[in-house]
Amino acid sequence: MSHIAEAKRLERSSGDRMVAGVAGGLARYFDVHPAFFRVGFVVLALLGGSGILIYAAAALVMPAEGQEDSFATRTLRQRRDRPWPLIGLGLLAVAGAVVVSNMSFWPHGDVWVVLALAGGAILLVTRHGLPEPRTEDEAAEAVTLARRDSHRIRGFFKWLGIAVGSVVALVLVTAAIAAAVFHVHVGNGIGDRDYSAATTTQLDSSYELGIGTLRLDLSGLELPAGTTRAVRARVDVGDLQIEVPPGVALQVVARARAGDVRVLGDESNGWEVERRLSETGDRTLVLDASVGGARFASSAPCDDPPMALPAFAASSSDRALAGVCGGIAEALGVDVTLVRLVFALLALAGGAGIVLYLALWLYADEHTWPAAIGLVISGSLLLHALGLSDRAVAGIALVAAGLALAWRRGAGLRPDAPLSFGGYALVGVGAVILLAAGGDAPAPLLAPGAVAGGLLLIAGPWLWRLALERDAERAARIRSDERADVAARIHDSVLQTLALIQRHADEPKRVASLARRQERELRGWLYAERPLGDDGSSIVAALSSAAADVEDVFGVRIELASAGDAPTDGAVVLAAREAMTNAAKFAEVEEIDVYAEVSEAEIAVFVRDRGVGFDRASVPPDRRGLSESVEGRLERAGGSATIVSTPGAGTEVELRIPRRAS
Amino acid sequence: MSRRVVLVDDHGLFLAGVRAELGEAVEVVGEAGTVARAIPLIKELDPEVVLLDVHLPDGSGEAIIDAVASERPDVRFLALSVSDAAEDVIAVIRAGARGYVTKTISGEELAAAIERVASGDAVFSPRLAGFVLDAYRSEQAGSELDELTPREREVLQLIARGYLYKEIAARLDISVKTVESHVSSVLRKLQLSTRHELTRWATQHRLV
Repeated sequence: MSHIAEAKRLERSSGDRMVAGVAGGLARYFDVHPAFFRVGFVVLALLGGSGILIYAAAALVMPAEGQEDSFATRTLRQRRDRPWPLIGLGLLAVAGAVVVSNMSFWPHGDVWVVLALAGGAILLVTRHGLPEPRTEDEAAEAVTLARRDSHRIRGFFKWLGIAVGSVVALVLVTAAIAAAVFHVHVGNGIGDRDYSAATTTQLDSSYELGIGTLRLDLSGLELPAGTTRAVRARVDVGDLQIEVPPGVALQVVARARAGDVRVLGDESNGWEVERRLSETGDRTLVLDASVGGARFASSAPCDDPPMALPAFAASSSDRALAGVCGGIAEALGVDVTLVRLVFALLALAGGAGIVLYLALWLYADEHTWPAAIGLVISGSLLLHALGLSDRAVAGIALVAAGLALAWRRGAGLRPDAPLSFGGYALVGVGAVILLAAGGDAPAPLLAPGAVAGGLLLIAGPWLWRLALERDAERAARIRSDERADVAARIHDSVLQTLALIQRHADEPKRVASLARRQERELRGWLYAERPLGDDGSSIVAALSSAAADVEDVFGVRIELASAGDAPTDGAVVLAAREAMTNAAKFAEVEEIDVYAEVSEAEIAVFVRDRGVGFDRASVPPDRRGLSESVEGRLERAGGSATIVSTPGAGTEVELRIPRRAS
Repeated sequence: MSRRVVLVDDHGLFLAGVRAELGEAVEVVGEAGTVARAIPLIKELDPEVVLLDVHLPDGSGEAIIDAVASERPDVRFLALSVSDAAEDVIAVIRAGARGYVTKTISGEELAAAIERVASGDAVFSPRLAGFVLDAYRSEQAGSELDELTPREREVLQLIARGYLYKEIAARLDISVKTVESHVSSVLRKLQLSTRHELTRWATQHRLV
């Protein structure tokens, strides 16, 4: 087969290596000078040592040149039947990453203890509950392959269990994060609540709601003269609206952790907003109102078709774990190792890669919403690992969620498509939080960074699609060029030969020879590693060429087999050609076998026919072909020729010549 | 007692030619032109020998052997191809084919090859013998592949030189049965050696 477009492989270079060949391999894959990556690794290593970590991860994930699997893939693949120990290890790894990156973003900051305990417990249980891992010898591998089908079935249910567990875990984690940021007391209730009070006895001193809209209608409240009533109202996440009665002095303290506060037409918004109002009168209503977090806009029904989410399916063929990397690689048309590398690097960022992997896997399994939550979490982890504060991360997460919603509700990914209201609202709220968090961001470049990131987020898919279209165009052009090349070749050779064959249809020998020559030419073109009938730069090529000439002249068929090859040697090829010619002329056969064997020490060529044979003694002395052209030539070149012929049983010419020391 | 044979090849003209050349020598019970059609057909007909093209429109001959061999261990495969590429030939042999012959083989020889495969022996064409010798020749591969015995090497060399089994037997002064057992033993070594080593061999020869 001809390899028209061979996919590039990302692998550790064996030729261009300083340590493990990672930079060399990356450079070859991206077609960049390796110094670019080397300097990059060194700079990163100097800046806090992350370069070393990244290099080590890359060395684990990238296969060595010429090898099928990397160390990591091999290890994971062999454990695929029993994923639990790996998941346990994964949780331990996340816990480790959390500790190392000193994160407080996870709820209560102590979640790593839970993760470590869970991971350790899983490891312990699986170690005790299952037999020892098999040895890794080849026989066991064969057995594993044979039983793969039954494992697949069992594996499916196992994965199903893991998937359900992951969804539950992700939902819990998300809820916990929201609770940690906004102090949600879900126990206070979720939903819309309407209260009204007309008399002081109906008025409670406190109203609370966890998530939702709380409306308190006090417009009809009759407050006796000389009384002061205090009312506390609290919504953790959502809207709080209080209608106050006319003619009553108000003393208001209104706070919002994030969002806006409007008190009698005065409005403030932002992060940690507080408004106070203090009036005096003989009837006083004291309102203590607090709102925890921004409103989660209820999504209004929308006429726009939902955005087509990019489709990718987990790869079933190329996988170490669940095939997510393979699926992505297939969808993007890049090498799977590159994708694995990115995931490994992301996993170093507070475990973001691990969560992202789970999320994408859920997405491939068509659990869109849990996947979206997982994506937001992994993105948050990543940003946090990059040094952004909790609030900034929360803001960015909301912006991202808003954009996702906007794209989903909008007409596709075009940048000029209208944003839906819900997404727009989320983007706005997120931006408010983000800007409010600007003060405690560690880096001054947060604001420009946020702007650039936002632009990229909005324009990114469009640019991506543009790039894909350009690639597709280029591929199409290459394909059409190739087709033209093939057409030209077929016209020049095959069609011409067919025309010749039609003209000589009544000469079977000529037809056979034409067909044979055409076959040789096509073979030479298709299997280019052994160019037939070329200038004869190697022994095998030169013998092919000689055999082709003899076939054409005498209309015989010559089967050429070979083991090994070497630079050509004139004497042995010429002698072999003479032997083939002799066989074709005198043996009265249709087929001649030629075998060439090149070893370290010598070149041996055998030319054999199963023809009439001859008796050496009866060959007239003026027929010099054999003695001169074959035996004499070989002897002069330092080799030997042996001719064995039996009348009626055929002839074999054996040519041997030592390899010249070069 | 003619052998029950299934032909798998996507070239209708070639199939017709093979059928005509084989004549009464074997009983062609079925034909298929694709991997997808061949697999159920072979399982249903349970023939003695499947004559198999290395390349098919929807896959390779290997795929058929992989799919059928576990369920029908008694079905024997003989690869028949125009392919010159050593990787294709070695791959189909390693998948379990008992032999490989080129499409230029005569009807008579093909019938003999079918008979030989059906009775459990291996069929090596000169070209296949050359490929195998080449695989064992390179020293790096040789250190890990199960070594060939000097006798096995000798037999393979004679096959590559165009000798028939009975000619080899006469020349080496052994029985045809012994020649057959040497060839079968080479086939077994080839099929048992691990994938990795042959991959390296193929890589060295720029075949993959």
